[in-house]
Amino acid sequence: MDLVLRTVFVFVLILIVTRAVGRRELSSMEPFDLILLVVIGDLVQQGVTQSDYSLTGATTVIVTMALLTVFTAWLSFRFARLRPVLEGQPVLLVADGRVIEKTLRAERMTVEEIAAEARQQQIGSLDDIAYAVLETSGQISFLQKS
Amino acid sequence: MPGFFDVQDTAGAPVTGRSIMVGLWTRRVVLALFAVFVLLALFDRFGQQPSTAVAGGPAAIMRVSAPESVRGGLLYQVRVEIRARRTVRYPRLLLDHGWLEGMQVNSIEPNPASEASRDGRLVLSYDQLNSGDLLVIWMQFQVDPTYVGHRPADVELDDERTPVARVERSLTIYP
Repeated sequence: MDLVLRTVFVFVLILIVTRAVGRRELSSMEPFDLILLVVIGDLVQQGVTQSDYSLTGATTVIVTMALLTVFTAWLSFRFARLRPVLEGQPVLLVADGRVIEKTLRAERMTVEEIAAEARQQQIGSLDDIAYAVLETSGQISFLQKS
Repeated sequence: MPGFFDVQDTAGAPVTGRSIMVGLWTRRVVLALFAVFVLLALFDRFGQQPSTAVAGGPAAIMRVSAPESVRGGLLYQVRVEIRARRTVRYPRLLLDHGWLEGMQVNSIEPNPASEASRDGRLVLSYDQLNSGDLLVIWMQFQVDPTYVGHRPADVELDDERTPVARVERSLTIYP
């Protein structure tokens, strides 16, 4: 019983942490972020299974995690109002070549970062961008002016 | 190239409404099985919440608190309480072989005055209990992960060789 409850707690905690940290931090993996992610994974394992190395314990945790993942996906699908909480919403960063400073500040992003992302998608100037949207995955999608 | 994946093989097989439904229902069945597994775990079918069993006679009452199912590698605790109703001159606690097979005995507190074996059972001998005395024995075990299965784990209290109380239990060890 304790294994299931610990798994549910950690799942909700991870959900809250990832939503609080912000999508950009999670999608752009610097070496520090990568190491932090591994450390968090290790801490999560210790918190959930503790000294339980049994096959039954591992199965219980994996199955519980799988069910919680499906359940949150279903909640997000079924209840549109929960979607922003569970998955976040796409955010408009650039409109008609103009950077929207307010959303940039909210997402802790700089113009240079958007310009760098744009260059990676073969867009030379922000003026060429019709819309730049920060997706819920943390990726930025660009729509160029025709 | 031999053994290479040919995309045309899959492109040629149309995904019909029926195969989508079969896939969907297979997934639902698997998820339902997962849910059953989690419910069983929630209701402690896979250990290791302790349950209490009580047995008594005119001489004493014995209460055994121990898990009925445990998982490989984990520590667990057993508590045996013996309340004497009248004098028990030679209290002997008899543990079935299931308590020891594939188990590491970490500690038994208080230590018995002596240990012996009777018909394959472990006999722990304690000092005399007078009427109203309470003896609480704490045992700590660790499960050997390679020993899985189901085995008897009875506990008997004797006054030397006279049975006083007996708790019938079993222990299931999950991998």
